[in-house]
Formats: sequence, C-alpha cells, structure tokens
Amino acid sequence: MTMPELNIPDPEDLLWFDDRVEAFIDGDLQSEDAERFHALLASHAMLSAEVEMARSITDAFSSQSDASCPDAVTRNVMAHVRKDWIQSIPARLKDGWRKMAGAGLRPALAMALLLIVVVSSTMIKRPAIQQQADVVQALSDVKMALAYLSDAGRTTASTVRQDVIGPLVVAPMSRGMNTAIEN
Amino acid sequence: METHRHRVYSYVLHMLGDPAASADVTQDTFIRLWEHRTALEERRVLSWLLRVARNACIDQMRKRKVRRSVDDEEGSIVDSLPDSGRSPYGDAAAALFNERLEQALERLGEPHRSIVVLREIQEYKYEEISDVLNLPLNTVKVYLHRARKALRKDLGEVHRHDYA
Repeated sequence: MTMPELNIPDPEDLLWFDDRVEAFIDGDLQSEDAERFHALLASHAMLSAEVEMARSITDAFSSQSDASCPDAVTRNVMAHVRKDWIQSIPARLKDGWRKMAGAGLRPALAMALLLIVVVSSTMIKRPAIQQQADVVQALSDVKMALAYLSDAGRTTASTVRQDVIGPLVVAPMSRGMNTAIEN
Repeated sequence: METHRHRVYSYVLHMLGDPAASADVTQDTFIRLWEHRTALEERRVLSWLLRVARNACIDQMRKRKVRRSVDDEEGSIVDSLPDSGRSPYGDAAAALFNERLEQALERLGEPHRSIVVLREIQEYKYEEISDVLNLPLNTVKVYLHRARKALRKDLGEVHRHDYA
C-alpha cells in the first residue's frame, strides 16, 4: 500500500484543489477535473486531510436533526391569537357593515330596520281600547265605501241604459223590426 | 403552526444558540404570522417565517451581542443530536468536533451562516434559500461554497493547534 507523499503541493495546484474539495465531497466534480484531483490527492497527504475535514463537516451537519420547539411556544401563540380574536370582534363587525354598505345593501337594511320599528311600535305600544276604536272607525269607513260604490253603480247603470243601450241598441232594433213588418 | 414550528425554532437555535431566546424569537415570529395572515400565500409561509425569524435573530445578535457558550451544556445543539450508538470515546470525539463546528459556524458572518444552516443542516433547496434570503440563486451557491471552505479552514486551524 502506497502512502501519499508528505511534500508540499505547488501553490497553484493547492489553490486549484482547494476550490474543488466541496464539489468532490458532493459528487459534483467535473469529469475533466477528476483525474487531476485524484492525482493530487494521491500525491499529498495534506490534501487528503483537507478532504477528510470537509467530509467530517458535511457528516456532522447532516447528522443534526431539527431541535424540538417547546410546547410553551405554541401555547403562548395560541393564547395571543385567542385574545386578539376576541378583541377584534367590534372592529370586524364594523368592517362587515362597511362591506355591506359598499355592496349597496345598506339602504335595504335601513328599510328593514325601519319597518321592524314601525310594526313593533304599532303592535306593541298602542292601547287595546284605541284598537277597538280603530276597528269601529274602519267598519264605518267600509260601510260608507260600499254605499258609495252601490250608489255609483246604480247611477252608472241608469246612465248606460239611457245614453248607450237605448239609442244604440234598442232604437236600431225597433227600427229594423218596423221595416221588416211594413215590407 | 404545528408544521413549521420545529423548523423555525431549529433554525433560530442554530443562529442564537440560546434556547430561551430562540423560543422567544420563534413565538414572536408566529405572532407576526398571525398579524399578517391575510397577506400571505400558504405556499410561501415557511419562507416568510424564516425570513422574519432571521431578521429577528440579526436584531438579537446586534442588541445583545449574543455569543454561544460552548461550556454551557444546557441547551447546546449537541443535546439535539440523535444518539448514533457509538463508543463513549467516539461520542466524546464527535461531541468535541460538533462544539468546534458550532464555534466555527458562529464566526461566519451573515448571510453565510444562514446559508450553511439552511442548506447543510436543514437541507433546504437552493431556490428556497434564495427566496428566504432574497438573494440570487448563484449568489447563494457561491456564498455556500465560500462558507464551507471557511469552515474547513477554521476547523483545520483548530485541529492543527490542538495537535501542535
């Protein structure tokens, strides 16, 4: 077994070699460089030591696994998130209202709200006796309306009979029958 | 949160080396995520978290001049290493090497240190690192090459000093 020589490499070779140690370790050394690299490696013990050092560093790094994050970190973050979520509820409601306004829903919501208020005040706040008076008044109004409609109907029927049916239907028919009898 | 918290915490721990400070930074990072949740795409959340965490780490290092103490057994990254089942001598040698490596990593400046942690330890893709650090892809590759070379030189010096 031949041992690498313990001589000092040429400075130019040393620089060239030094730039390619990591590529050699990673298996990325260009094929045109491989022969020269291996020749230098075989010739100089100090270059072998460099490669061994580079390999040890890579192995040491790759043997390290991710450290475990303490559970307290998660607990503290979640506590912050919950607190922030609760504190932001008014702002989110306000934001939601602003978005609805932007979408043109604000007038519709305002109308619905107004309707609810009016209906509620009508149904709830007025006294019962006043409601009875309203019913009596309403019945009276309905009777008056029916009477007016009845009278109007009668007048309209009389007018139609005198102004339309008489001259336009009865008279021509009468004339037609008289003519037929005379012939 | 469950998906990313270990990744973020691990990155921060490698950057600061102090478990308590790393937990604080991780917590603040996730609170900021909550505050910015509406402005983020889900697929970019991890990149965003790492970017925020990195900025917080840089602030911490500037303000407090945090330096990891390799003598402080508690909270050392070595504690997080999986048991490799080696001999006591091998374990001791590996632990010593890792301590030296941590020290050498500390001596790296930014963004070299982040690139080494993200690529070599956490095994992110170059594209992801480029996104996190907001650096061109080729720059990430060049910086990583320089950082690995610097670590090799640094540890080589220590090694030569130890055995001189």
